[in-house]
Order: sequence, then structure tokens, then C-alpha cells
Amino acid sequence: MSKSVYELIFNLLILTSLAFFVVKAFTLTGGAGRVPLFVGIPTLLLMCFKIVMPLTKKRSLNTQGDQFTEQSKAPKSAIGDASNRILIEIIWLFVFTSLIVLLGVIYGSLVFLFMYLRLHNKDAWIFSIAMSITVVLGAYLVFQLALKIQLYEGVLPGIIFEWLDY
Amino acid sequence: MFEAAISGLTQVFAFPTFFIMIIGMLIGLAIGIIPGLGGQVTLALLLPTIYGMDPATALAFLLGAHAIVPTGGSITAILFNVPGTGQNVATTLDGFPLTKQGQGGKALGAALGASAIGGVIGAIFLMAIIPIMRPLAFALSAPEFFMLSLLGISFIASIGGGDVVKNLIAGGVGLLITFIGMDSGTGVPRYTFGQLYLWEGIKLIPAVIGLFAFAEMLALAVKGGSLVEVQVQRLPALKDVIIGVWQVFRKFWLMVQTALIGTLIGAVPGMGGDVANVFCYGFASKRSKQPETFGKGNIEGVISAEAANNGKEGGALIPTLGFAVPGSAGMAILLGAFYLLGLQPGPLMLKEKLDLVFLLAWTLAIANLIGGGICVLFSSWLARASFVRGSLLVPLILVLGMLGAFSATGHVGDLFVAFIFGLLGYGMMHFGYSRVTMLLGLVLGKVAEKNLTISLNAYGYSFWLRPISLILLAIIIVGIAYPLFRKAHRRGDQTR
Repeated sequence: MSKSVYELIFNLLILTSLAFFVVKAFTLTGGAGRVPLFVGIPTLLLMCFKIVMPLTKKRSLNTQGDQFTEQSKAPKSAIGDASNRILIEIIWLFVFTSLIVLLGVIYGSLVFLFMYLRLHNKDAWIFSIAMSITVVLGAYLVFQLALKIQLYEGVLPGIIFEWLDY
Repeated sequence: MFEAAISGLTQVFAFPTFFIMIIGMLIGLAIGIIPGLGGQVTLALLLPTIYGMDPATALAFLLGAHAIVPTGGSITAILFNVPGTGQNVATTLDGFPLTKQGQGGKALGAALGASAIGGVIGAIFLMAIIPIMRPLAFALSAPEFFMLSLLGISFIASIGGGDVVKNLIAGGVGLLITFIGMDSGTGVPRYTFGQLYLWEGIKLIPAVIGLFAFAEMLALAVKGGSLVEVQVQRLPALKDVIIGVWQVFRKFWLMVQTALIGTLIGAVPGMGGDVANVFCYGFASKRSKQPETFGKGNIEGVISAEAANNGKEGGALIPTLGFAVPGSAGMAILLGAFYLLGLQPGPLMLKEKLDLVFLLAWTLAIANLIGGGICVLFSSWLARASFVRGSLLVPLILVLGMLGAFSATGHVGDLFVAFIFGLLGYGMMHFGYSRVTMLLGLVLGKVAEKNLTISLNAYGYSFWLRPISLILLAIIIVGIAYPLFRKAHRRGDQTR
């Protein structure tokens, strides 16, 4: 898939969200939907314009002959590689979010850092362990001890401790 | 007024404000020196840490960190031809040629000296403008403030670079996101999907962290490789750097002029440090007696570019403090911080919290002076920080970002907000949507809605027919239409 297809998908996602905001605003009672409509309708129209305009341009380029076919011959392997890298990084971000939900902020961060450094970056074992512990310890000192923020403890530790108590 | 100025100064030097400001500055320097991480990422990561601080300390901490970012960015711009931030692009044009000629220390000293004094000039300008700004702000009411919110968004959308239509869409989406949650006017929950977490709306901190820190890290991880790929033979000696600082005093008038131009550019929403840096470089080359040496290693090019990008922060604070219209992304995050701290920029702040306004101006001046001094003394050491691997930086920033996002309310939903905004921010970066405009929508949304509701209740749909509102509306229309017209005109010329 070329970049323009990805862009079209992204634009359509935004369009759908905007359409949702506008449609839902009509159902809101007591004037709560007035300002969302005031903002939502012009934004929705602009988004429609942004989606339709490139499509009409493409059609006119197609009629001009080689100009558009030249563009469509962009190195597909490079685009594919970039897409894979984006996907991999998004998966890592998702894994990190899930680890925090499951294991809590401290243990989740520790496991994520170690996994990222060791598996993604291919750093040495000792370096990965030392770096993970140092960063998480530093973060714990700043957030939990200095700023007195109660950090999230995760779903799994609670279940395990409950099970052990049981 | 004088009492407020003195009170602001004493508050900066009070404990722990001064100590925390120094910590903020060191963080700002460290982040500014790493290419790819700008003032926005710095503020996004520091924003969660202000919980529990008193407003004076929190603002000195954030502004101290933000003010110093372009100073750190000049080091890599000169030594490695890699601008630390977008605001240092013009610095590379003469800074790096000077390094290749073996005069890197001199260029570095000139840049750091110009940054420090340029920042002080910007702060002095801000203090001087406060007496003029106050009656102006007092003359405005809800309809004008609503128009000013729209003006801020439209200005950044139209002159902030990129596609104007896409930028306006981003601003609209940002505004719409702020409507999620309980409507304060009617008590009706909007777009909450039955989730209690969403009743209070989307929190600014996880959204900002996702939009800037996570999106930048995703981009960095996808790009891969090291941040600075230049092999440097020798880092400059302190003696050479001090010689460079002396150059600033030899070109003092040029430095004052460019710092003032930078300050004025900074005061226009959407015209950030990138514009100030390049514009003042062009100004210096035009007024120079040796314009042909620009781009080949003229110290005037370095001084003008760096005086401008630090001077513009003083200018950017003018619309932020006076009219709650941030001039740049950094200022938009700072404005978010004001709201988090329970402060309301605009006439109320200029009336009741004038000491805080002066505190910000003093912070700007002091942070620039101290930051410049630290950079002069430790520039060689600081330069080494930019050799950090991108692949190492990514997980570290992600962990700090997640911790920060979570600390906003301590709710697990904040993590998902940061994650979703990270993806959205990356998509926006990739497809040319302005994240700054969206941020402005996120920060100004609630205020804009409140002012619009008050305006509609008080004046009906004719609220925009009030004289000042009408002028602001005209500026908004011209601001949006002019770039579109220019683009269409250029396209027409090309087809002809």
C-alpha cells in the first residue's frame, strides 16, 4: 500500500470520528450539543473537502498520462519496510501499556525496559538489567517518594496476593 | 506595579523556587541538546511533576526548563551541524562552517552569549509591555475572548506552516475532544460511552504526553540510527568559548536589534522560534557590510539567529498572559499548566496575580543568564550528551511518559489516553496535520465554550457584531483566506 492509501485510511478514521461527534451532538439535550455542532459541522465539511480533493486530482492526473503512473512506481519495498517498522513500534507501545495494566507501573516498566533493551535493541544482558533497574528505581524515587504519587499496582499482583491469602 | 515586580523577583529567589528552577533548567538543557527532543517534549514530560507545587515554583520550574531549550540546541547545531531544535536551523548555516574552520569554540561562545542576552532582552520587553497590556485586556469581555481563542487557533493553522485546511481540521478535532465529559453549563454528559472516567473529560497531561512525547518517540524508533552521526575530532576549549562570548559585545547593536525582532515575532501566535531564527538571520545578512560571507562562517549569522530564538520567548508570553492565546506549542502547554494550577491568564491574572506575571518575566531573564553561563562552562561536556543512542532514548522516554501520564489522576484510563494520543500524534506528524493546532484546541476548548455560552446568553447570535469582535473576525477570515489565496495563485502561475 502506498502512503496515499494510508493517508486516506487515516483521514477516513478522522472523518468517522467527526461524523460521530456531529450526529451525537444532535441527540444531546438542554443545549449541550450547541457548541459541539458549532465546531463539528465546519470541521466535518473541511475533512470531506480534504478527502475528496486528492481523489479528483488523481483522476485528472490519470488523464494526463505518464505523470501519475510515474508516482505510483515509488519503491514499494521501502514503503513496506517503513510500515513494518511503524507496526512493530506500535506493538511495543501497546505491549508496554498492557504490561502496566497487568503488572502495575513499577514492575510493568521494569519488564518492558528489559524486554525492549534486550529483544528490540539487542543490548547485552548485564546492560539491559542494570539499565532497567536504574531507570525504574530513579522513577520510583521521583514519583513515589519525592512527589508522593501513589503508583498503579496492576491487576495481576492483586489477584495473585488474593489467591495466596486464600 | 513596582511592588508586584519586586515581589516577583523575591519569589524567584525564594526557597525552594530558585532551586527547583535550576533543576528545571538543567533538564531543559539536557533535553534541548538532544536533537529531536524539543521544548514541547520537555514540557510534556515535566507537566505531571508540578502537582503539589505552589504556582510560583511550578511556573518557574516549567518556564526555566522551556526557556533554555534553544540554548542547548545551539551546541549541536554549531558543533555537529544538527540543530537541537527547529529553532536552531539558521544557526547551523554559519555555525558549522566556523567549526570546520577550527573556530567552533568562538561560534559556540557567540551563540551562547547571544542566547543569554537575547533572552534577557525578551524578558525586559515583556516587563515593559505589561502596563500597556493591562488596560487592553481589561477592555475585553466574553465575546472578544471567544474570538481570541478562534484567532489563536486560526493563526497557528494559517501561518504555522503546512496545509492550512489540515491544520484547521486538527484545531477542530482538538476543540471537539474537550467537549467529552460533563457539560458544565447543562450538566449533561457528552460522548462518555457510559464510562465514569470520561465524565471529567480527557485529561490534558496524558493527551500532551501522547501527542508529543510518544509520537516523537515512535518517529525516532521508526527512523532508527543514532541522533548525531558526525565524528568530531576535538571539542572546543573553554578559552575559545569565552572569546566567542566577547564577540557578542562587539556586535552588541546587531544582537539587540535581532533579539527585539525575535521578541516581536514571538508575540504573533503561530510565528515561533523557527521563523524568528531564520528571519533574523536574513535581516543580519542584509544589513551586513560583508553579506557574501554569510553561509561561509560569519559570526554575525550565529549571533543574530541565536539572539532571536531566545528573545522570542518573552514575546510569546505576551498573548499567553494577557489574552490566554498561546503563541507557540510550548506556550500552549504552559497555558495548560496555568489551568491545572487553578490560574486564569487574561485580565484576572493581570489584576490579581500580577506578581506571578513578573515572576515569569524574571524567570525568563534569570534562566537565560544562568543557563548561558552553565553552557559556556560545560559546553564540551554537554555536547557529549547528544551522542546518546536513539534506541536507548525511546524506552526511557516512554517509561517517563507513562509514569507522568498516570500521575495526572492516578487512573488507569490515563494510560490508554496517552497510548491513543501517541498513535494519533504519530499519524498527524506523518500525514502533515498540525499537532500544535490540536493542542491549542485541547487547551482552549473549555474556555472557548464557556465564553461562547456567556456571549450567546448575553448578546444572542449577534455577539460577533460587537466592534472588537468584528475586527477579530475580520483578522481570522483574512488570516485563513490569505494563505489559501496565495497557494491557489501560485498554482495558477505554475500551470500557466
